[in-house]
Amino acid sequence: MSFEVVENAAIGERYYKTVIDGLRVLVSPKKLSSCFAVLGVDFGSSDIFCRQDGKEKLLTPGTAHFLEHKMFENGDGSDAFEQFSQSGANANAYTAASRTCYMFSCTENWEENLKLLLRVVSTPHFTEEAVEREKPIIFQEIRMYTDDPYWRMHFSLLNAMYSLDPIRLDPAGTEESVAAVTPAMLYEAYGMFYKAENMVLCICGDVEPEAVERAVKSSLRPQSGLSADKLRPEEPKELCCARSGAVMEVASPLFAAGIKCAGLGMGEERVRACAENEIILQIIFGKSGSFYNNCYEQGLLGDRFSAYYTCERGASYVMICGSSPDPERVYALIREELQNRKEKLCTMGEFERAKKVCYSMSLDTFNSAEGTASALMSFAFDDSDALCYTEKLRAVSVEDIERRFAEDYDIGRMALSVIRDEEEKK
Amino acid sequence: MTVETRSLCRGVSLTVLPTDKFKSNLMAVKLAVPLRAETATHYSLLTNVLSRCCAEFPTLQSFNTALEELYAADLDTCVEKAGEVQNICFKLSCIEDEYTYDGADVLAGSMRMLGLMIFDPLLEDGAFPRRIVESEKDHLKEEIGTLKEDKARLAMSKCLNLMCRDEAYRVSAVGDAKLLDGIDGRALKDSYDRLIRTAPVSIYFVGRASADTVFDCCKKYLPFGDREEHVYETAISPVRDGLKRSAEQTDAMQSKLCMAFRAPVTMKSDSYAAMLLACEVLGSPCGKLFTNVREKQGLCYYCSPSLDGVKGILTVSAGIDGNNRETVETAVLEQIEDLKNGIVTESEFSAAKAGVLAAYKEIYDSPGAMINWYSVRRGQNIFITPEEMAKRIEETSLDDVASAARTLEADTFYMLEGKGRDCE
Repeated sequence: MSFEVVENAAIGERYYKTVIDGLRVLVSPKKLSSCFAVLGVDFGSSDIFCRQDGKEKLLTPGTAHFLEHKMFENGDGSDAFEQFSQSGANANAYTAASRTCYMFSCTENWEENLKLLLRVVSTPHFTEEAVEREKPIIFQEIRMYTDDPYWRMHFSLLNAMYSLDPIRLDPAGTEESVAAVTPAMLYEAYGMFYKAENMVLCICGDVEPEAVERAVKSSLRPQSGLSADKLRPEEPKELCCARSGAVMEVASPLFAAGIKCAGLGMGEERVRACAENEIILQIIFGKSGSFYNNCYEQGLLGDRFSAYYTCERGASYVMICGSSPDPERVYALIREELQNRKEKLCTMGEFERAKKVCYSMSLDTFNSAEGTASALMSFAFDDSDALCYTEKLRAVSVEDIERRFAEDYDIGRMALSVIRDEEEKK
Repeated sequence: MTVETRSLCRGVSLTVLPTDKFKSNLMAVKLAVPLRAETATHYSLLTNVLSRCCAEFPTLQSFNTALEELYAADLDTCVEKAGEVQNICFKLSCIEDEYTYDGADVLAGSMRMLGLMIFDPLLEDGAFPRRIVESEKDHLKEEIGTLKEDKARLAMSKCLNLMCRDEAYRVSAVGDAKLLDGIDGRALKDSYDRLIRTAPVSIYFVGRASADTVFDCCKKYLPFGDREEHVYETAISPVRDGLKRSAEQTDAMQSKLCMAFRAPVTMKSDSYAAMLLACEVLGSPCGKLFTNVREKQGLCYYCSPSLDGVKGILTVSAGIDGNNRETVETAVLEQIEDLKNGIVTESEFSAAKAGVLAAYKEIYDSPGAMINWYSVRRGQNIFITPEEMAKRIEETSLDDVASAARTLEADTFYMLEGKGRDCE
C-alpha cells in the first residue's frame, strides 16, 4: 500500500495520502456517522487568462461557474443529484476565485457516492439545449447575489482595489457574459483544466484508506495530463480607486476597508503569510483589542465587525468589515490605528492571547468531516499540510509579524467601500 | 450514546449528551417564556445587555479578554422562536481541556464565566446601567433592521405576519424596534428577575465531561432555584377566509415569492413522520420542486419548502422573476396536488426517506444539532430519540404521506416584488 501517514498527535489528527494516476488523494478516517468528500479543481472564476500549447486564450467570465452547474448532468440526460439522493446523500458544488469544488456528504454507501463524484467530474456532456436551459437559472442566481448587500460590499471593494485582476469580477459572470456561453466553450475550459494532476480529492469519515484507494481505482477518473497555464494580468501595485459603494436597503451603513498587500506567496510561503496575518489582525482588530472596544463604547461599531486576510493567485488583501453609523470615521480610526501600530505592534500579552484565539479557531476546523476535508484540500493545493498549521501558528514570533506588518500594511494602498441606505444618503 | 437527563431542582433540567467526537464542548441554557408582544422585546434586549459585561468584568473589553484567555471560549446569547414560545438562550462553546497547551482548566473557567453572565450582572442602584441599556438598544435596533437586508427572510416574515396576524406566532422573538423607547434599566431588571426566578430552564451539554462533573459544575455556577414546571402550548390554527394573495414592492433585482400553507399534522401527532416526508418529497435534492420548477421549467435558482412542525405551517420560498409569479405558483401547486394524490415516483419517495434518515444520523456529528433535537422536543413535552423517529419514517407508506399532504391548506401567498432595477 502506498499511503503516507501524516499525524499531529497533540491535536489528535491523522490522515493518509497517496497519488493515484496523477490524482492526489487524502483520507482522514474518523468515527463519525457521516462521511464528507470534496474534489477540488485548481481552476476558478478568476482563471480567465490562460495559455495552452503556447497560445494565449481568454475565457468568457462565468465559464468556470457555468461548467460547475452543468457537470452534474449525465450523458444519458439523467441527473447526478438524483443518483446521490437515492442513498440520502447530499451533493453540492461551488466556484471560488481560484477553485471549483464538488462535494457530497452521506451516511450510507460512501463507496458508490465517491465513484459517482469522480464520474461527475470525468464525464463532460454539454448539449445546446441543456446549456440554454441553464441560463435563466444562472440569471436568477446572479440577481439573488446582486440583492445581497454583503456581496455587493465585497465586490465593490475588490473593484476599488484591483484594476485588472479578475478577482474583481462576479464568479458567476454577468447576464451578458453568461448569455454568450456555448457548449464548445464549456468543452474547451474542461479540456484545459479538468486533469487529474490539477485536482485534489479529500474524504473524511468512517472510511479505511485502502477502501478509498480501491473505490478510486475501480472508478471512472479524470484524465491525467498537463493542464493549461493560469495567467494573471500585470496588476498595478496602486489601487484602482480609493472609494466605492452602492445604495441598498441596510439597517446601518455597511463598510469594508481593504489593504492591497504586496506579497503574493504560493505554497508554504502563502501558509506562513496566512498564519502571520491572522495573528496580526487578531491583535489589532480582535474583540479584546482597544480598537474594537473604543469604537464599541463610542457607538461606532457593533457585533458586525471582522477582519481577515485572503491570498489568491494574483491577489492578496486584508479586509476589515462591519456596520457603523459613521463608516468614514471608523475608516479614519482604522488608518490611525495602523499608523500607531507602526511604532510598536503589540505587547507580549496581546501577542500570546491572539495566538490562543487563532489556535482555538484552527482546532475548530477539525470538529466536522466537512471542515476537516476542506482544510486538507486547501493545504494540499499549497503543497502544505493542514495538520501543521497549529504548530506554525504557535511558532510565529513577534519579529515575524513585525516584518509582515511592515511589508503588507501600507495605508497608502487602502480603499473603502460603503453600502448606504437611500434614506440615509439624503 | 446514552442521553441522561437529571433534575437540578424543580423546573430546571440538565440533559447530558456524552461524546468524544469533538475537540470542543457545547453547553446551552434555555429559559422558556410564552411569546408575547409586550415581553419579547424586553427579553431580547436583556440578552444583549447581559452578553456585554458582568459585575466582575464591568467592560466589554475586560469580559472579552477573560474569554480569550480561555482559548477564545465563546459565550453567546440569543432569543429563539419555537412555535409560540420564546427561548432566551445562553450558549457556551469552549475547547476541550485536553487540547490546551498550558494545562488551563478551560471547561470550569468558562462555566464560571457563563454563570457570571447570567447571575452576576453589572447593576447601578439595583438597575441595569442606563449607558449600557441605551447603547444596546441601538445595537438591537440595528439587529432588528437587518431583516430588510435579506429579502428572502423579509418576504417570509411579511408573509407569516399576514397569515398569523391575530396569533402570537406573528410576534418576532428578536423584538420590535418601536417598543424599545419605553424600556429603561429598571424595567429591564424587573423582566430579568421574573425570568431568572420563574421561567422553566433546560440545560444541555455535549462533550467529554461526565454527567456527574457537569451536574456539579451546574450546581456551583448556575444557581437556579425551584420554579413551576410549565409547558407552553402553541395554537394550531385553521385557514380562515380562504387563500389570501398579497404583494409589495421593494428595491431589488429579484422577486421573492412565499407560499404558506397550514399543516395541521404537527410534531405532537403520530403521523408527523408522514408530514415530514411530504415536505421532503417536495424539497429533497431531486425533489418535486427542484426537478420540475427549477430544472424542467427554469423558473428559479432556488425553490425550497420548509416545515415548522411546532406551529403547523409549511412554506415554499423561491427567488423568481416577478413577471412569472402566476407560472411559478401554478407549477408549485401542481406538484403539491400530485403529492396529495399520491402521484410520487418510486425514486422520489425512496430519496425522500433516505434523505430524512441520513439527516437523523448526521445529528450526531454536530453538537448544535444534537441540542436542537432535544430542546425543540422538550419544549413540546415530547421525548423521542432520532433513532425512534427514524423507525417511524421507515414504517411510513406513500399512502400515509399522501394523506398527511391532503391536510395541507393554502393560506397566504405573498410576493416581495423586485423592481428589477440595478441600484448601482
